[in-house]
Amino acid sequence: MNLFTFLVQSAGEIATRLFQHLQLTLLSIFIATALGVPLGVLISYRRRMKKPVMGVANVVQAIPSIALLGFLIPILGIGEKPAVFMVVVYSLLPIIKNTVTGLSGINAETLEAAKGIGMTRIQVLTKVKLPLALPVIMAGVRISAVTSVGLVTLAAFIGANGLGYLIYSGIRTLNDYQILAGAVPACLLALLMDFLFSLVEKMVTPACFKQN
Amino acid sequence: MIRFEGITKRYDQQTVISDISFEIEKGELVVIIGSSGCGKTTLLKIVNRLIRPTSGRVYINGADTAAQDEIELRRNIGYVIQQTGLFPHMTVRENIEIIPRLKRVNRADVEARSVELMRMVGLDPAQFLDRYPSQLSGGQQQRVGVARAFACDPEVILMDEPFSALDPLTRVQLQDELADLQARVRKTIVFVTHDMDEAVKIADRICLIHEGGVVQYDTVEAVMKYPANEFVADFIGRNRIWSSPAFIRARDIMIQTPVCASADTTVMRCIERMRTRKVDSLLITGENMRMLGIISAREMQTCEDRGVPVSRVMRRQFEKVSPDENIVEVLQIVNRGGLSAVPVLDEAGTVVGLITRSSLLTTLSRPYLDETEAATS
Repeated sequence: MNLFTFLVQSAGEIATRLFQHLQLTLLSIFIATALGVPLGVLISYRRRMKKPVMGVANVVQAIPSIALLGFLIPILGIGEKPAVFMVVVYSLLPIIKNTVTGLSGINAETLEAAKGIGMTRIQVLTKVKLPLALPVIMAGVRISAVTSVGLVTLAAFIGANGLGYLIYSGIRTLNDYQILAGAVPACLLALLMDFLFSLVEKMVTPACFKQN
Repeated sequence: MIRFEGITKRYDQQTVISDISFEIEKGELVVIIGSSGCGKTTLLKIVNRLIRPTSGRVYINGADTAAQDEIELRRNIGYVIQQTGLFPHMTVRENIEIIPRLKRVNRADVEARSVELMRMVGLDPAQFLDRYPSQLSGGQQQRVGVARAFACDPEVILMDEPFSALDPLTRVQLQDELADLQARVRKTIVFVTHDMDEAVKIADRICLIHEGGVVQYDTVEAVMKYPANEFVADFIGRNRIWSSPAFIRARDIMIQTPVCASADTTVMRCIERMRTRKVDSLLITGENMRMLGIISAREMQTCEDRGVPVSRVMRRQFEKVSPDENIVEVLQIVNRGGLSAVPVLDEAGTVVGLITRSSLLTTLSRPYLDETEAATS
């Protein structure tokens, strides 16, 4: 049996795993963005919170992912819950960092003008700050999306679904084809994610910056 | 309209503004001027509460601004700053319409107003409304900035060095246009600059600030002619007035005590008076110094009977100027008539002074002689 016939035979399973993998990745990215952007915004307003929040995010980033999964088992059990939690935690840092960077890079005079012509704080945030920072924020989300695809494969070690399952069982059974059946789609998925998020990034870039 | 009452602003131990009080009249364009760091921008930002004063109050139309909702206050005050004040991610239209839309003004009204505002600042609405600020020149961006400030038709407009980043030609053009626009709309405009030429060009009044206090607050003309102290004189430049001859008026250059004679003085006595006072013409006046005529030495020489009252031989038709006419107009009159002297009369026809060729020469030579003095000293 060669790689090709193996792939054809298990095409159905690969497709299912790929779909699960995509689901887990998107869910994690969604949660990470939903948490990371507001946290970044909060830090940009409350300077004093910057150090503790960034510190925690940095420390978490430094914990080996397998170890983190192990710690999570007693708390969240096994399966998808701890897997998503792990991926979210790892995705937060680039999103928070880029949100803060994006917001602090806005011209101070533009913001003073916004305030001076009578926008409320919320309006300054939603009408001026976020639109201007969005390209930078999206670049952070894009980085997270790509690394998430890789991280989700590790989730198989604690019983979550996805392409990691193929890789993990391939390692266990010394089946190189099966490892490749998991690894190659995961790799392609990461590239696809990068491409898709680059489109989103372009989409949210204000027209004025595109022309220059 | 806008009244500053005892405004003081301190940052830590440093006092930026100390106890400033003055009032800006409705419909006037007041330029707040001073060297950088004198507190002029701080004072401006206190008006729309971007900066909170350490003590003191600002009243607009009698209402204490500190007691008003700050968002509402700012929306009713136009605000123009250097070109970075436009939002780069919004089109010209969106920039102009942002506040009216946030105020939920009727959409059709807002759109009609945008077109009107673009015309007002001299930009073609069809061509520019849907462009982004980065696609406009600096001058065009600043016009949009002005249009945005007028969007809600505010009574008060604050301008913080709006033209300082423009090239000199565009700057002068926009200054002229602002002056024209102001002549039409008569808003109360507070304009901050460090450029005296700009101030002279557009201001009704100048408020000169130095080291956190008002040094002089007066009309442009008064500040130039009667600087409150050495600092003001140095700041505006001693010969500044010569670049704005419209501010040099007949009353400033006339001889205040011209040699006169009453109508019933005899010709004989008139000749005598001219000789002793060393003048070549006499102003003939009636009651209360009302001017009746003029006579020159030569005309009297030809007069045979020197015993008659001068009123019989004087010229009753003569050129005259009012005290408020400027030096350019005076020069035109003198040149046109080939006159050696022209009397200055008030509305009632009373003699208030006389401008002679030699007094004009003295006046006109002043800037050059001043310079030589300064150079030799």
